[in-house]
Amino acid sequence: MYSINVDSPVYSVAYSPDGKTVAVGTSDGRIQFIDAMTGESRKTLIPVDVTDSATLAKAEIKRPDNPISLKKAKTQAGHNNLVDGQRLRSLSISPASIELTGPMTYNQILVTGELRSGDSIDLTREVEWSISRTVATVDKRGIIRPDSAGKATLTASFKGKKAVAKVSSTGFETTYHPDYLVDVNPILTRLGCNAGLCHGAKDGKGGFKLSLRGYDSVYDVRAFGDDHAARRVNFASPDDSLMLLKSTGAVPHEGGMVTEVGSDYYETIRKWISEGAVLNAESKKVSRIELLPQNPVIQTIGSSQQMRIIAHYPDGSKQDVTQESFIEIGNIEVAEADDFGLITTIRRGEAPILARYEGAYAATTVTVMGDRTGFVWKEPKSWNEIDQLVAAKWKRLMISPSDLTTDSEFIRRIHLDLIGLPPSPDTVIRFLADRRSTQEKRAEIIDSLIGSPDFVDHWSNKWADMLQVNSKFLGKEGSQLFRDWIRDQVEENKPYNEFVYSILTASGSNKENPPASYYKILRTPEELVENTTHLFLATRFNCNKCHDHPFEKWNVDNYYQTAAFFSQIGLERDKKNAEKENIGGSAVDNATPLYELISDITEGSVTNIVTGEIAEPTFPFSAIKHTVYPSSMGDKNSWEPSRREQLAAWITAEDNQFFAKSYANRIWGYLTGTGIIEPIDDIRAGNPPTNPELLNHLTDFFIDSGFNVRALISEICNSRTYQLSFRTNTFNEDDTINYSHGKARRLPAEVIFDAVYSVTGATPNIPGAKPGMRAAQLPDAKLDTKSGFLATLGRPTRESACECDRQNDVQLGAVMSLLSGPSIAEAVGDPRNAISKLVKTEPDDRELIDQLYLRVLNRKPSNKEIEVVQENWSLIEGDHNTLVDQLAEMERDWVYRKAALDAQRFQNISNAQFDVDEYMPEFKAKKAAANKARRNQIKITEKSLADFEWNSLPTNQTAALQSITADRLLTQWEPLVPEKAEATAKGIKLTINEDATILASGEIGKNVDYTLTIPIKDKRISGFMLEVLVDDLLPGFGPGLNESGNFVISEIKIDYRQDPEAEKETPLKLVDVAADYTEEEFNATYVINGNRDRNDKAWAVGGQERRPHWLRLKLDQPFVVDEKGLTLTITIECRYSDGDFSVGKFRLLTTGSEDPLNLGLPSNISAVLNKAPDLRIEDEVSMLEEWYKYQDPDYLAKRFDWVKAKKPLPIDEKMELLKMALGWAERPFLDDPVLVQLRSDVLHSVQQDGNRRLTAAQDLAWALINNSAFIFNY
Amino acid sequence: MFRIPGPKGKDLCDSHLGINRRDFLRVGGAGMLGMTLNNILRAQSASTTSSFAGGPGWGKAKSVIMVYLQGGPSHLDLWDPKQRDSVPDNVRSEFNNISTKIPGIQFTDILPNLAKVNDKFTMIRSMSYTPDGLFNHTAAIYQIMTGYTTDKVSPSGQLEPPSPKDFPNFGSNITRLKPTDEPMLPFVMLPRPLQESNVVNKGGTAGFLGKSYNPYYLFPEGDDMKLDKMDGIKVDDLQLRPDVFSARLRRRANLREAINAQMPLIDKAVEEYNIDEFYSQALNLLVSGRARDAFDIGAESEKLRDRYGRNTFGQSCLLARRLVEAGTKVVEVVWPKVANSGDHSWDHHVGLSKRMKTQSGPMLDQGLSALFEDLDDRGLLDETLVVAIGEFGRSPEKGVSTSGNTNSSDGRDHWPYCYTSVIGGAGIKRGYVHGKSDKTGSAPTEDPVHPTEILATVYHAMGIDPATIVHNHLNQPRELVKAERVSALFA
Repeated sequence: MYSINVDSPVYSVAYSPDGKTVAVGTSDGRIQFIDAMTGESRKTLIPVDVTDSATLAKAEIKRPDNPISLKKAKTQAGHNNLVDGQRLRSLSISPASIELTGPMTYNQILVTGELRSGDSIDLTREVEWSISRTVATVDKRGIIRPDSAGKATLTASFKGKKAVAKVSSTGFETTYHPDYLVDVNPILTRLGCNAGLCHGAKDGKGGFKLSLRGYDSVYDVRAFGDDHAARRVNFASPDDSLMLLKSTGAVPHEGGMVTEVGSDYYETIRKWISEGAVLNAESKKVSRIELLPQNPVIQTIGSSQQMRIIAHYPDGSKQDVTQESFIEIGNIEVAEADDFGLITTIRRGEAPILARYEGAYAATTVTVMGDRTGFVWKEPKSWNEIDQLVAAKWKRLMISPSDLTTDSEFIRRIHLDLIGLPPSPDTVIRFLADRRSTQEKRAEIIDSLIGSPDFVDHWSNKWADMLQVNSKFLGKEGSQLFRDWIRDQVEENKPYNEFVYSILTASGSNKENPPASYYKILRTPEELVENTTHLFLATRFNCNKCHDHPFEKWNVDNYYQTAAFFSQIGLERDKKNAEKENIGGSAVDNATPLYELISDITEGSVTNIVTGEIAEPTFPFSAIKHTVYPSSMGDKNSWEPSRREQLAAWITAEDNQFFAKSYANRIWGYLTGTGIIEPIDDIRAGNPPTNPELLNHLTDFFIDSGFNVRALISEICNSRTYQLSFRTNTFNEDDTINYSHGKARRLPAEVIFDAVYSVTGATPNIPGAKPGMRAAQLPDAKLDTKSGFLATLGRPTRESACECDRQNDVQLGAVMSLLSGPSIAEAVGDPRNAISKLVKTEPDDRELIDQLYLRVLNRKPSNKEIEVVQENWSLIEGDHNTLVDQLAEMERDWVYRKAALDAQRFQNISNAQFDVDEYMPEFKAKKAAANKARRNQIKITEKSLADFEWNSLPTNQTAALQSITADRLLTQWEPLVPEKAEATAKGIKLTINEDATILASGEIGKNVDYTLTIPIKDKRISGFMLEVLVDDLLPGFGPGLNESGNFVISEIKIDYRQDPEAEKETPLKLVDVAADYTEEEFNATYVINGNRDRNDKAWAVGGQERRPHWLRLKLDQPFVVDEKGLTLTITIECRYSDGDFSVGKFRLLTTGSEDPLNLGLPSNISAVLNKAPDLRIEDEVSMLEEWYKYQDPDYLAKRFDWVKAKKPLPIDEKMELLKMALGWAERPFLDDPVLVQLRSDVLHSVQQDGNRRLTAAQDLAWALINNSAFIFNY
Repeated sequence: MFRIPGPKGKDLCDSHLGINRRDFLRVGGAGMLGMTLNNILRAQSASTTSSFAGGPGWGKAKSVIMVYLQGGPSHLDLWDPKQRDSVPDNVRSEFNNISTKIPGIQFTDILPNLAKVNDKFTMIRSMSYTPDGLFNHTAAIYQIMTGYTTDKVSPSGQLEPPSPKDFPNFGSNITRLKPTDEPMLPFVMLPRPLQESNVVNKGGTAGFLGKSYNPYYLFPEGDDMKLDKMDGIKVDDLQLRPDVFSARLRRRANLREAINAQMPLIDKAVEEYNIDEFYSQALNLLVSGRARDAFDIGAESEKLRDRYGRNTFGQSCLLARRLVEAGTKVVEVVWPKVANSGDHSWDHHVGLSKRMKTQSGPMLDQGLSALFEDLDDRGLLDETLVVAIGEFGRSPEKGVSTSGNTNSSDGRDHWPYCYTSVIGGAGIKRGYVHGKSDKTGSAPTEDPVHPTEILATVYHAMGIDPATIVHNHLNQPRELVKAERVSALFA
């Protein structure tokens, strides 16, 4: 063997026909001939003309006609951004000084028109261009590209106005060397090669994988250069590189053609390949990007705006990268972007614009004003700073807010929001009668609700969701304890930072210190870092687990460095509170102890899966103003905080940029229905706040209040903004994010449930909870009504901290539950509810309607509404009469139909009876014949057995006994008499016989373990023997319990317990197994392999069923039992796929003999055999005979024949079927279900007609509950 | 071919990108006005499939019946028998070969009735996949039901219990992308859940699509093998409450509408929720009694009920036909025995000959043949796709272990590398055999078909591009299934 270096990747290898030469074709275009014996290179040949790489590298890059494919660009040729009526004041051009630094560079120019109105518009695609010298060309989209070196003046003109920019073009004198990181990877990203649905996918595509968006350039360059026999890059002939052939569609590419031959992108990649396709790890990485223009305001819908993206590098240089960047619009209902940074507006509104380029990002917001004709700004009243900040934005966006909500709407809204229950009729009436100023009386109500017991329940429930209080993780009691703890914190109004700190640093048993449950539920550093950042910082740390976050600043290092704070947490069984009880567990995950002790330990780490290195705990950004941490620190000098304490301090720090802000945003979102950042638990650069000033104010307010949640809630509810009506006007009806009107929000599942029971005055009865317990008070998300009302209505499953886990949408299932589900029906129909009482106490119909509206919708009905209801009520009588008529008609009809059906049934019976009768003689004959045959067979086999016993057995016995070798008599085997024998499978019963044998009976089909309890004393034990035996009573004669006679023993375990009170058993070590016979693949040794799985291998005796067999087990050392004695527990496991192979009859024996332990005989037999035949007494002889009989295979075969013959006859299947058919025919047919239904309807209708007012009141209550005005808060 | 749906550069983890509901709010122009949720979803499926729609069989199926043979039936002992003298002793089936309606194609004598109707469907004798690690029932079932495998697999191939993060069952995807217009349950699973040991219903949920897309589970109580189990169907939730009979419910609904009409502003404020449409659907479903009636198998003639077989499986097949007739889009009939149980299950590690001959075999033969015949007689087969498949076939060699299970000399172990499935209706070729297995049924020699390709074929037949993107719980875009339809199956 030898190895040779051919310097380049090898494309082909071939032997010469004589076997003496090896020809090797390499990627540099050479063929080398190598001596097969010596490995020396004989000669090198270049078969075709190739350009050497030096020449290639020097070659000028072709100037392409069409630099990049602009197919996807909207050039908007026909569109006019300047619309009629707008008058242009001046033009400006950006950048004013254009620097083109090389042949491949370009600049996106922006030309902006200033209008007389003061607004500006983008005119880039409408101006005329002229340039003083032809050093560069400008295209339709305002992209300027250099043609040669030099300086020039560029002029844009439009409608008589002009703007001028200087152009300088350089970089033509030096050779262009594309760099992978600076030039090539942006192209690959731009073309989509490394996108998540293409080669950037987890497993790549079409056998080729790149890192997602090129975050791992080392991997990618290797993928291009080395993998796939290096065919992806071809230095000798770059144009033949698969990388280029594929991307231009020259060879089939499933991703299609993504670039064109000769384009800038093609040439850049080609040049990079020709220069060796190398990665320069030192090359500069973009430090930030700039997105221009910032915060554009576009007046006219349909107008467009070109964006421009500049990359800045650490060395201070910059580059226009608009073409290679990605621009996304956060709200695509408002505007859309094409692939080259041109934004077109669609409708009025605001939308975040996010640009990214090579891991850098920048964002701004575009505002589309649209037609605001007739808008006049009137400063709205302001009750606190929130109102001012909200109004500032209304003014900017020309929005007119709605009026203040009415008192009756307000009283409902504030109750549902703060306590999750509607106001009582009394509360409503008292509030409406209150003559004080609106602001004053509302403030009082807000104050009275905040902190009330219902408030505490409502907000505790919210936290129980977020903290996943779920019996699946914690058990029933554990959930209740955790929930109670949360409730205490909410009741005490524990400052939010302290609340969070106490959870994150909780130690000890989760029973005694319930917040420690956090670490019982979330068990790994990965789960903890993802959940903690999501829950307390509203940031998502899941994408950057495997790759740098594609859209955000979070990278893989941040993930593991933050996770490292959770890497030193100890979890162990809380023996005091959960000695043995476990919880959970699945086929994949192990069960965990019911209660665990959480502690800080000094060992443990997390490994960054990308770098493979251990991550050091480091915060992803700095926050130092710890408010909780120092107070708990005690002696600063001697105290060393644990990793969790450091993390908790950092998270809850006042200057943690996300902590206070995320919770302020959440509270705002809960109360108004829309977060300033939405979703409320997703803070990202690409998801900017709609009103940053407002969010900052709320955040500051929250911090200044000392993280006082109630103060924050009160501040928001007392703002005029919170109290605006949901009724819209022309100038705010399309506003969904600026709080210019109230928003209708579907009530959460628990609130609907509690509200229904509250307004109907019925008592909820949720299974597993105390009667009367409200949904908001349930400790566990597993508790639900029988019909699953809460789950159907979208209550969270509490398996994640995501707000999205709660679904407040409307879908068919939810509507079915409201419309006909038992929860609502029972509340409405409960005879003891408030509706029944009202009907009795309120004689006037109009008053009754009034009261019901007040109860359910918390307002009085209008006259018109009362009329509408009364009209409906008047239909009850007519409906009833119609039903009664229908029933009468159908009953008449039924008489005839029934007669016909009766006749048919009779016919069917007689047909079936005929079939039975017809078959009967044959059946009887068959039965008689079978009986006869059976009797005959019994006689024959009986005789044969007796003959054999008389004639052959004695001879056999003599021969057999003589052949018993002496060694079999050496080991003394004593039967063990069990005190107790139990089977784990319900259908199987074990009986202990006098001779210590154990007989099983019953059904098979389930895996079964037999457990024998055997007290012993004063004994030496060196081994055990298991006899499996035949028996007439076994269906297949044994030793197995099934028809085949075979059995499977998968494991034998022997334990002992010194003291019967001792709780632990000690296993005896079994070391050596032998059996007289084993079926192939079913070796006896498997019974002590320690594997208790159903699919484990086992001992079986297929091929020699219906005979006794023996299995011997040896102890690793003799076991001596003193006179005090002990208890042995012997477990024989028959675990086999379908459970059909339990043992039928067996016996256990033991010995104290010295090695070797032979497969010997029971001691009573060996004792007799040890005697000379003539010394044996009669009893001994017959015992020997009886014993021997069951060893003789011929005897056993004959005996089995006899046993088989005696079996009862099988049932006749045909007769069974005919009888079954007769049974079916005889079944009385039921009345037409439609008729039955109608009868029941009429029965109920009669009742309801008799109590028409109750019926009507129930109908109204139902109709009001099944109404948007009830299931929404507005 | 693979395709790259969606705009360039948009990918993983970008929760706000990709195709979402918002995109489709714009389809109608000004927004939600006049568009129901159904319309939006329809627009959604149309727009994601536009460029790849069409081709043979596209959209031919109005409904799908999946007859799911959990446990893994032995192809060698059913529909891909080998010549007795051409295989080793330990491969040879105990059963005799019989000829079928298709010349040259044989079944074993376990399937006498199916042999008479196999001119109505296609047999794919080259189902094949190589499991990643040791696959057992649940992992393989999950793959067939969802098109995906999970990372969390126990050494024996078992999975965790169902989780809200699971991939959706194909039926949930179908009912989401092709909502039904009928007042009928769109997706019904019966008569028992998918199950291996104590892992119940894995792969049988809508997973990350949310509970609203779960199938309607019709799992009557009682032992699976009780012959009249299906007579015990209880559909209380589809039943009107006795005290709120239909006349009263209608009156209530009218009152509700009349009250609503007095509050137009609130209606306007919640218009995006489409509440009234859901109310009218729900009312229809209840009052029309269509679903309730469809479940009433007692309405069928005794003769037809006998024809399907008086057992849980046969009656479930009959119900499947009734449901499809009433407008259900997807019916999944799960073989009425825990995948890895004894007796009537298909998991024949031991006692194959007897158990197949007297238990599972006749039930399958009778029920499935009746289903094909009955559907065809009623003209429903042309618009109903029927698939009968298990999670794997069984090892050609008896008595050897391929999955870590022990097998008797009359037992075969799990064998995913080659097995047979049956597919018919909705433009699938009639009397056709696709693919071929080798001499011992160990490996396909022609046209191997992966179970996920069957799923892709089902989607295609329903007029859904298999590459349609759905977003999971992390809002990551995922194809319905990463596989292509098998075009050759369509006529």
